[in-house]
Amino acid sequence: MAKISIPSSQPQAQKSRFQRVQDILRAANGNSQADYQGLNDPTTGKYWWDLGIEDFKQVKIAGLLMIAPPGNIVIVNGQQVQITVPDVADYDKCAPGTPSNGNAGQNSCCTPMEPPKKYPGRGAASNLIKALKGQPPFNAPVGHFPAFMWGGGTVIDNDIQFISDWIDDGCPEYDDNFVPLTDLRAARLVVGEERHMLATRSTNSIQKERNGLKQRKDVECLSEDEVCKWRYVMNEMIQLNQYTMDRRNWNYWGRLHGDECQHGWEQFLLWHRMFLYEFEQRCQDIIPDVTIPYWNWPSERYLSGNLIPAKDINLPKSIKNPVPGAYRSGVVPYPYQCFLNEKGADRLMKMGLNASIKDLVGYRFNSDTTFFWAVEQLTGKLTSQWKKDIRKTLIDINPLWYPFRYPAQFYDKTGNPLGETGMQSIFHHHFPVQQDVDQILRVEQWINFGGGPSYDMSYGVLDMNPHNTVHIWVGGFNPNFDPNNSDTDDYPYLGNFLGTEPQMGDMLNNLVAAYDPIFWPHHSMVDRMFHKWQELYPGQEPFEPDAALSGLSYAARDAASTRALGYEYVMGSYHFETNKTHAFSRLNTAGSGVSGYVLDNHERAEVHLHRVIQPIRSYGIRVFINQPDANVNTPITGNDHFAAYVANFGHGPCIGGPGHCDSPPLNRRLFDQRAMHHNTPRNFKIDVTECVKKLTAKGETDLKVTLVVLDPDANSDQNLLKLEGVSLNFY
Amino acid sequence: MAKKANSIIASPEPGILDPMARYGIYPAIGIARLGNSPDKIFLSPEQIGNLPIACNDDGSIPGGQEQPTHDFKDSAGLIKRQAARFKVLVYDRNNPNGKEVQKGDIIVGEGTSGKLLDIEWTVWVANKKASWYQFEQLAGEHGYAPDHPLRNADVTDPNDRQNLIIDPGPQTVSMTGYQSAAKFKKGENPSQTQNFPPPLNPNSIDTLGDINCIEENGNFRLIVRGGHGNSGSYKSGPQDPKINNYANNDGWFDDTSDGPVTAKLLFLDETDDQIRFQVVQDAAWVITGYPAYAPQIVGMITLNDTLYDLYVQQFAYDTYLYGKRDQFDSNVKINTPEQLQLWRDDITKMFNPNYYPFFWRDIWPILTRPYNMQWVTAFLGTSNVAHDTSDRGDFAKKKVSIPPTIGPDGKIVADQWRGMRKFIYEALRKPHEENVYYNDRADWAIDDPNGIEFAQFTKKLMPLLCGDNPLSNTNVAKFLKLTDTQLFFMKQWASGKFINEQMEAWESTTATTPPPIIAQPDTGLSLTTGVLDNLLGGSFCPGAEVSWIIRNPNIWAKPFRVKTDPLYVPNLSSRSVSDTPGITTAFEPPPLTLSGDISNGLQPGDITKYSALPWQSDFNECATQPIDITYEHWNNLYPDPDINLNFDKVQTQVETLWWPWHRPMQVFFQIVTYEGSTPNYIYRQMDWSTGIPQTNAGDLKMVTAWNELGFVVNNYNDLSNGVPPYVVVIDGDDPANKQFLGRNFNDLNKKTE
Repeated sequence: MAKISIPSSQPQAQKSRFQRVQDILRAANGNSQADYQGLNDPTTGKYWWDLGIEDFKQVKIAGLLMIAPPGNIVIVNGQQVQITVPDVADYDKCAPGTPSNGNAGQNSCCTPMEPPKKYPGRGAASNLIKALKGQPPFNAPVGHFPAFMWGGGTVIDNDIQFISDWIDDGCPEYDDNFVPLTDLRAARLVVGEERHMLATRSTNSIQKERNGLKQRKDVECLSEDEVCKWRYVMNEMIQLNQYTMDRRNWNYWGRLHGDECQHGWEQFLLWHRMFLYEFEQRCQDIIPDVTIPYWNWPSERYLSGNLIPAKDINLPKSIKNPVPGAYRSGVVPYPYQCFLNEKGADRLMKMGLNASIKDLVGYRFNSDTTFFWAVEQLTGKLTSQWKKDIRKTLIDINPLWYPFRYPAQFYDKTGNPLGETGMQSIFHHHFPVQQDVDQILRVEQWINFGGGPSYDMSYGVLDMNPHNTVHIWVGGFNPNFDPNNSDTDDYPYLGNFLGTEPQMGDMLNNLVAAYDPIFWPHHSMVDRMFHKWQELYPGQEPFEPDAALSGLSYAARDAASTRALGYEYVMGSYHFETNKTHAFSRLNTAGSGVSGYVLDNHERAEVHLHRVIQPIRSYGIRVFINQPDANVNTPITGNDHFAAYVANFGHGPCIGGPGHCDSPPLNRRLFDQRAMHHNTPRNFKIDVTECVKKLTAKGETDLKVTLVVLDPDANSDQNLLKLEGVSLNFY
Repeated sequence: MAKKANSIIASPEPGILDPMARYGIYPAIGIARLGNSPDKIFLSPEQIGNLPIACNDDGSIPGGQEQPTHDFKDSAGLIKRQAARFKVLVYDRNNPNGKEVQKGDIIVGEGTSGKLLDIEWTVWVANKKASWYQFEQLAGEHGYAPDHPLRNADVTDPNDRQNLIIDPGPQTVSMTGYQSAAKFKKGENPSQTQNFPPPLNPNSIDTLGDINCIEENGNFRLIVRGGHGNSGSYKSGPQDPKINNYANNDGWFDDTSDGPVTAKLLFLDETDDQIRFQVVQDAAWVITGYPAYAPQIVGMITLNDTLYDLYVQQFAYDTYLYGKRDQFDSNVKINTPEQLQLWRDDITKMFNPNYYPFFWRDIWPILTRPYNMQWVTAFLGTSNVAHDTSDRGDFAKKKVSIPPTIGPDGKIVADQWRGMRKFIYEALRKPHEENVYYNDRADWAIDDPNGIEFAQFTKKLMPLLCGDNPLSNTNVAKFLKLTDTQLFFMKQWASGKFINEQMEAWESTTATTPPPIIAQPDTGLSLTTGVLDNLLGGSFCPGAEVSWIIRNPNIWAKPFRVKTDPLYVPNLSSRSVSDTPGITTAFEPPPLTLSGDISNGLQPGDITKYSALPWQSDFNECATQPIDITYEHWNNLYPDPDINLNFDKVQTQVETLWWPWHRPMQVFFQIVTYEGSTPNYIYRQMDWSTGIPQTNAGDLKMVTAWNELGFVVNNYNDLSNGVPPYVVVIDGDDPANKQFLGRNFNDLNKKTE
């Protein structure tokens, strides 16, 4: 049953919660003549609580936002602190609880919608609630302002809670008042005459509702929404750095790695798998559907033919000079690059920087040595204070960017750039290419691939070349190194270190490497290689499976399976949500919008059917790609669009009493350790690699899925296939 | 500017002994003032710009109803001493805003409790001026140079130098103990070592004052009086006594003083019928200064303003106002010395750009002060801009008090008087402009693309008053500037970020009328700030009641509480119950020291020793000052035709006032003529201290003439009928004084703004 919200204005008998909030405030104000900075004007009957919902949500009194913006609330020393998003950032829209970040897909008719998400703590963090409760700063005379309502009465606790709950629910203007959609569209959907649209919300938020594996994606294939959320998560952890002892902050993870990192022996892969797992869990505390993306090093995005400081960067026309060799750098993944946006340029101009900095808006840089060179071309020499302010702004814009990162920047003793060949001459390594990856995956023995045990320590191959090399490559050396101003003992986000010029990038040194946000996609790729190798050579165990992983509460064996830890690696994943109450005879999806990069680079393609309800009668499903009119009569031989066939084994008529064959709830009770319920919905993972290959070879660029249900009785019974979604996944 | 109450909040649980009870002596700093009357006194005003409080000779209130008094002189025409009155307040869960302890109240000791019987007070004042360093403007504020000269440098023997300290020894009084009154007088403290100067000319010093305790309606109070204004030199040369410097004169002593005030609460523990005591944790300090001749005219910067600024910036006093960037909304609590040190070390601290000061509380006092200077100086003779607050004035109250109208998003939609506010703010002297006379800023201090622009280039910066050092070429600070906090408030106000309390219905008057002044201080904090608002907060050259040492964060244990050297107060370290009551506990402190190490805390005399000796010389000379503004960083120029060829063409000096509200210049005299039996009053603004020139000879004359000067008093007129609101009163028989008789307390404390 689809649900949409409609204004509850026609039947006035029942007021919306927003109207009740207004009533409460109005009643408490009584006859007060309080001016509220001109927002109220009793002579004309103008009051701030009568504002429309959008104005009400942004109303400021004495400079204080009354309704806290959506965002996570953390408790510090018993005080609620809202994690703020810098004013120049664009990822504020991904803060948890942002309306546009809700779960409404384009095919809302079929999305199993829940009531709007709750944002616990948003009400309590709102100044309106603080003001009504008389909490700081509305606790005069100890605090600054008197409590609300100024000049009027107070609001009783129950009503304050009512308002707070309403804010927690996202300040809805109208209450949820769901009506069923006409049956017509549903009738067209279940026979495949109407297409299911691509879900717009993140795949991991969909997977979460199904208890499915979370997906770690290629960092270059993240949707805008996914990058946005990832930035938001980084920012929140960085904001927490001001609480130095808070283990949830960013510095904690940098320090933990510096203190405990295992490498050069068999725990390298195991320790880092669990380290990433813990970090990812921490990130999911903030936004549950983020995962650590991976940096697919050998992708051509990062390489040019001769591997020497990758591709030329684009520069605005106002910069006439080419980038000098000393400031050329390698390419890092797109979301991790350095860039200036309009708001950031405005901030810097307000601080006094020359307006020509606007020319750089929209251009991308891989290190700030290049960026500062470009700025200086436009504005003249920058002082270290300016660099500090600019770095702070760049981090605010993109917390994935990191100032102490000099990719592929290597210099000889006289300061001349060496580029990639320099790295070879110094470290005898080159940036990993596909050939390296392929060779590594041919190593068959654990001791060679993963490293030796504690009593016979040795590096594994993955540990050495791609892993160590990329650390060195992305760390690099600072051409502006200033030995008198190079204090980088601590992570710089408290602001004290942003003006320094260290000699090396943090990724170059193990003890500080994890302070650079690029550490995570790099190690995610290492873990992905490990996972691929495990699939190629199954059954191999570390020599010391019971050994503890230091600093983490796990034994080596706990790291055996990524799936047991709840994630998998995909290059891209495209989801179509379905209504589980519908029974399909045919199911059509719209185009998946799969990118050319994914089509070119994936190794395996799968169609997944999610949480398929266990049927009473057995049936078959044929999977077609890019053949939306396929039906039971469509040929399956000699047809490049036919991808696969699967059968679903029915359990037969119920042999028990009422409820015996009901689907079990999604989540079990705590301590329920019994075997799986016989009617637990199942997932199908259907390999369609060959079909996709054939179609792409024919030049088809977008992929749509068609499912055709085959009833063994040939009745085309429509009450067979019930499921929660279809997805197309590339590995 | 009382901004915050002490934040001890607990939920009330009647009937349960409160382990959180905290006792404090209030005001935290009391101010006594000199007077030559042998026994007549009044009590220190306890609110900003108030008259003193009338009292009996023992400090009790006649009839139990507090009344202000303008009888500054006794029937013999001698100036009454101003006494400092101290009370003990308890802060506990039932009294989060504090309450004066009363006889019979349950007092909570450590591990014991009982009914309050009495309070035992101990006070120790001293005068260390003659033994201290010479005052040389700002030299010494951050440590004295090794060769910085001492006062009386000819006295070199350590024992002889010890004799330069006037030390009457500590005195203890209580209602039930062996004495309820005691004197800081030579020969009247047999159990302690004393030190008084030899006979002096013109006036010898044999006392620094006296104390007594009283019980009024179950409240126990301490009354502290200072000296009688005696100053003199022990030198006996043909020219002596002579004064040759505004702040340092060898051979001289005066009888100002300062020192700690401590108290013990004596209570009866009924479990075993023993009398036990609880030491009051928060000790107070008493300072004796010279008379306040214009007590109702509030200074441009009061001592409370200066200390508030210090506590805000150094003691995390209000982290919503000033603190770590981005943490203003997180209600940060600084509880421990370590947290405070970390907070002080943090370089990201700043004023909260989103702080909204309150117009009547924070802004209006700053705006009204300059206007009232015209009653103590012939202001209009030098300026045609009177800072007038009436409707047509440049500080028009009904305009500058109105904040902008904002839209829902917080942006300003209408702001009619922004240009006026900005004009005033632009005129204010900003940090680093202490030596700038004419506004030479190229840019506006406030970004205001849509506002009205006023050309202020080359206008004089305000306040146009002397700074901490308009005298020498070392650490030059020619002109006064408002405190950082005051300037921040003014900036917020000018930008439109302020609240008009009336418009927000916080006070029950109209938008353009100030809220009523609270007649009685309601908390210990407001008692303290009310007292301090009547003291001079700058400039300090060396200052009035206190000097620049007061803004040194190291002398404070916490806001408003002077860090007291524990060796010089009784039993502060022992709060627990002893077997015998504290009444008989011996107090045998070591001698006061000559050295200046403040790391252990301050000793008696350690605040006033930085001030001028004798006070009369500086008081007389701090009238006006010719300030050389030829070169920004030079006060003294030495014309040399070889170096500066057109020196005489460029040299510019400006005659600048010091602090006319403390040292009146020209005041209105009331002159009565009679037509038949009908009195006819006319008013003339004339020199206040006629016949006392600003010379060393004048300084010497001031040593004996100070007690003949008149007091400036508000007569609650306004200029509309041609009568100036403030006129001078010479003595009780003065016809001007007669006009004030019969007015009640509320009338007299009603502000004319």
